Amino acid sequence: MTTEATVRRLPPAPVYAALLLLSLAVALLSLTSGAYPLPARQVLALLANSNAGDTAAQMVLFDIRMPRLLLGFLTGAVLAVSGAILQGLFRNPLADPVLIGVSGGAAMAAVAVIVLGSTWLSGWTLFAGRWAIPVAAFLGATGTTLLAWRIASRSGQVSVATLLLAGIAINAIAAAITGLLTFHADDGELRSLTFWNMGSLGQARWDDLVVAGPWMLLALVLAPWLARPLDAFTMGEAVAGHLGYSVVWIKRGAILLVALGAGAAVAVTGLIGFVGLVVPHLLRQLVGAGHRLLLPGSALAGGALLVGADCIARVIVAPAELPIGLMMALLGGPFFLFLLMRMRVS
Amino acid sequence: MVFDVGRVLQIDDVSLSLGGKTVLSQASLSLQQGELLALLGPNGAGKSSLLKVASGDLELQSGRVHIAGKRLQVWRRPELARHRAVMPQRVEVNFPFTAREIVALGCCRGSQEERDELIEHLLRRLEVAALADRLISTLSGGEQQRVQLARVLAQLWHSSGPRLLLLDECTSALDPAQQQLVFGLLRELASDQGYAILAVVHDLNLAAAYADRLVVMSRGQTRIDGCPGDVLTPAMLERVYGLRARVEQLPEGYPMVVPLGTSGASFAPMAAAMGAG
Repeated sequence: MTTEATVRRLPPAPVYAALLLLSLAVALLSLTSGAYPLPARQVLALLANSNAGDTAAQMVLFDIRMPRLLLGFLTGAVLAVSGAILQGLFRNPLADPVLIGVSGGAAMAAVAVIVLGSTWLSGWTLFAGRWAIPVAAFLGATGTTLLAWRIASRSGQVSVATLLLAGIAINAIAAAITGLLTFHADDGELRSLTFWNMGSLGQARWDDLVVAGPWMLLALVLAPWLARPLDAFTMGEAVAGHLGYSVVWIKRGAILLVALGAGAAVAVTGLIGFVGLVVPHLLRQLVGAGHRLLLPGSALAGGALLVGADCIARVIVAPAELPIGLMMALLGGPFFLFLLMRMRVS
Repeated sequence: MVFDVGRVLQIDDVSLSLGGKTVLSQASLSLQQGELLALLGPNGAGKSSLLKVASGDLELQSGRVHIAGKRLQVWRRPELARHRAVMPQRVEVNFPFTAREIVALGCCRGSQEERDELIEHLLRRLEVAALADRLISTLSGGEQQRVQLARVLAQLWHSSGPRLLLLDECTSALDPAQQQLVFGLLRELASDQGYAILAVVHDLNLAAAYADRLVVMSRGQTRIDGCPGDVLTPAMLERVYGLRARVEQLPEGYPMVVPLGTSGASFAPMAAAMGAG
């Protein structure tokens, strides 16, 4: 027995404090960065008194940057928490919402509306108007997840292994249909669907928040209720049952929360990967695998990470901006590889 | 049916088939408060399946299981977890939990100080206190097994009322000294605290030394039920295991099995090994 083998956990309070400070710092950075010059001092003055400064500054801050910040933070938080929940449920550190069909279903539905919106689905676009794409994506995300769930259930029991396999198969089918639609698309549609697939916070408005926010908030608020059962789940369903948890209801609750929360996030922002994978993984190294710290920590860190990445995406090719999904993959991919290689060394 | 208050586990005529194969056929056993019962039998006899029926991992197809006089199906899970704890053959943990954190998953009640104290106590009793802050994945099989056992014991430690432990080969990865340590602790829990303990055991001598009663299974049936001195006979070992053995009655008051080879083998194992060398 060597002393290096023992694990020292960081106490929770300082970790939370650090994550909270980081979130606030990134939020301020997000409110100040962009094409319109709005220094931190002016932002703080406007936040204290919304009538300070000129109307242009007020508009930029309250109608453009504020909803973008909040939507970005909520999306990052929900994706990270969803990743943490699914990893616990599947007992696999590589699980994320993509695996159970959330992204595949959302992409298929969104692309269908983009490509067929003026022809076959014109009734839907007329009916749903500006919400045609997000609502379709939400229905696609939750619909595919529930389909995978139905396939994996047999007489009230759900096998998580089958759920995983069903998710993979359904993703493949959804990807094929998305491909067919892409094949059918004209140049303008190709451009829109490509950008949707790379994710964006650029169109974020208050009404996006009003429509998608409640689902995401609901997922975030209810997630801590899953913390203790998920701890038990990491030793297997049977052990969780022996410890007194209702295994069936935990699985239902977890999948439903992820489908609603991540489905709503994907619906308004498009596909944003890596948050759900990287954030819980990193936090486990810091605070341990216990979900009572991991879930709230993931929410803060995921929110901060997405908002931070969005700041970079906005300024790196100004006055244009990079899609946030692309930015996340560019930042997250190499970082994750670095972690993997460092783990192999030690 | 009228139940004896001290009867913690009652299994009656349980039959089970999995994938068309009969695993249990009319298996029955009962377990009293304060009793340590060892479930014996050759590989595939249905020991683990019977335990899994009692733990609820396998659905009851026919027959009855009562825990503390109440049918298993009508127990509410959280309440049952205060009276029954289960140690499966293997528990895999895929996430970086420390040994201490694993044990903590077993104790849900009491203040933080009480829980910390209990965890510390159990880790010390099972001689894994020095490993408390190491990741479970870095421990050896035997160390992990003792940490899991500490978690299982923590679950019932402060419970009042009947306490039932279902242990599936809980010492399979332990060296002989640790096997004695664990069974000594189990013996004490049964005798002093009134735990009812059902342990699937392969080591006949361990069972003989510590159990009040042995139940021998064969082909899904609970064939023989009695105290170690009556159950462990050369004839039984020959018939059930196909094992030729001598049984010595030790001055300590329990029998010891000395294996001599399988039925039909013409040499004692030691002699055979020497001949091969």
